Amino acid sequence: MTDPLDFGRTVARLVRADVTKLSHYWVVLIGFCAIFVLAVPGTMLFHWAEQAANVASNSGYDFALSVVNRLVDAATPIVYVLICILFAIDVSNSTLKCILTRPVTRMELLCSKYVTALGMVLLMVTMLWVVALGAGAFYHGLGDLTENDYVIFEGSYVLGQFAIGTGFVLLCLSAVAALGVTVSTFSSTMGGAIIIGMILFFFFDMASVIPASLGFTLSLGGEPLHVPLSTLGFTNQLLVPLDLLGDLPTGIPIRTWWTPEILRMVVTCTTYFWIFFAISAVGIRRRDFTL
Amino acid sequence: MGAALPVEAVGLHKRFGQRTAVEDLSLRVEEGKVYGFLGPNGAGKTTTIRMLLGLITPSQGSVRIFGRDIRKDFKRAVSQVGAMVEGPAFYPFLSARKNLRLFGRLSGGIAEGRIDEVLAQVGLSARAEQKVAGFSHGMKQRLGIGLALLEEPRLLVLDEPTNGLDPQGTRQIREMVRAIRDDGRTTVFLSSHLLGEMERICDRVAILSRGRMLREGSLDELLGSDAGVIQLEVDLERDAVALDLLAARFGATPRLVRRGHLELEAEGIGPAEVNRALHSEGIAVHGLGARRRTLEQVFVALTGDASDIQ
Repeated sequence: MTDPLDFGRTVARLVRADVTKLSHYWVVLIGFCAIFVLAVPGTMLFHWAEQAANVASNSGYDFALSVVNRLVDAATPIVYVLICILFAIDVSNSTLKCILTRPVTRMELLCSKYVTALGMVLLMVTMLWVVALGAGAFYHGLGDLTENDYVIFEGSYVLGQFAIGTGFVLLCLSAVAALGVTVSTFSSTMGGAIIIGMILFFFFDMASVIPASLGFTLSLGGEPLHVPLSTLGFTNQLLVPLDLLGDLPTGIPIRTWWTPEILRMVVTCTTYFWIFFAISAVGIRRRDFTL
Repeated sequence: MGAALPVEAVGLHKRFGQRTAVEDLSLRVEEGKVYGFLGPNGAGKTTTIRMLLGLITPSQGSVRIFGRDIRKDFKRAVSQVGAMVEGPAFYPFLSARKNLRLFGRLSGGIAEGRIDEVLAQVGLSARAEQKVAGFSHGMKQRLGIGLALLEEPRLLVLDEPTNGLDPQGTRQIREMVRAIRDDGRTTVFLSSHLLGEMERICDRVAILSRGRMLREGSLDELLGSDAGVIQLEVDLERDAVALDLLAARFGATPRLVRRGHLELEAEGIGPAEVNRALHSEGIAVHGLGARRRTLEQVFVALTGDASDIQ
């Protein structure tokens, strides 16, 4: 019988070891630098585009949300690729055998990779918000959300809603991370992990539009629906909570987060997460590490 | 009931698709000994070690480490083991010290003092802060052994520890293993195809070929008496005649070591008899001696193949 405390301690040790090695590994450092480099000029370009179009955000929050909305789509594949190589780093350096010949079970190792992957995703989202809010504060200030000097929402309310929305974004990104860890579990080389990983990522990215474009619909007694099939793709579901947040600058308060779209997103991403977790768990348990 | 054996494997089989890598292999390694696991490349040594350490699942059979089943009680079984399987492996972008610290943490953390001790033991104190990427093969090999020793294991598994080392490096590792054995606290399971090295440091030896165990026993059991081989030195131009004569007279297969130098398996034959036989045919014997059989000779006799061994 597994002792949960011992399990947790071992996972924590493995995560710490992952953080140590990833923080020294140039591929990972370049990946996160790329996100930062993408974010900083991205915010500047967005600001210039606003100026050129002679439109301005209502406040720093409005500006930050628009920036994050655009950047998260570009940054996600970068972090996803880094997650795909989590196991491959150890397999290609043959260090996996050094880990697996220590008192570490395969399940603990897998869970540690999930925690590390979620940590990477959290770091990415934090970086994007920090840059976006920083730029928002610089260009527009971070006071209350106003419309023609009329306060429509207080800053604290907006920040609270941003935090909730980010939580939902992280849920979707967890499913993306789970896909990355699953790919990683079955990979032996970094190149292979990246190629297979990207193919699967774009497959799921496209999967939301493929059924509709092929004319497949689900008829549940009434009108034919595209929507249930579109959830086959989950990678772009992270835009759902951001869309909801987008209502705030127009003066529409978020009365409930549990809209049908959010519920569908939660069910879809949670289902995918557990499917990927199960696949990776079976994979790591059964895999012979002939390193 | 006696103490649990460091390694006890019963009926191990491993198949990769249609290919059988290991077949019906059983092992019993006693505590405090150096156990040699011999065989040419592809004999199944590394596959067996991977099964012993739980890196791969046996198609059949079971492994117990200090009495604990490696599949069912993995953590406790492996917690007393230090291993280097198929060469050393490290994160090249980290220093030797950081690598040791990182792997040490996985078992619950290791004192800095112990890391210093291990680095000194493997002669890498001066290179502790250098990245492993810049290490020579021999240095990596020594660091690999250091990593295996880090947590002062009761069982040390070393797979081909002298692979690719120069004679000096090989000697250093031999001395290191000897010191570990003499310490008496650690059982060493050593795989190699370097028979000379194994003969020098092992207490017991298992010979493996094509996935099957051919012979297992103490060195004395395997190599026989101290006078197992008779060595002869005869006239250069008459060595071929001597070879034929010895083969015909004693029914053994003498070996021409080099021109004028012969060796003869001496099961039931005395040096004096050999001398008399050669002398009676007018072949002058310039030198005559007896020595123990080498592991290589036993190995070749068992496998009929010496192409991969040294």
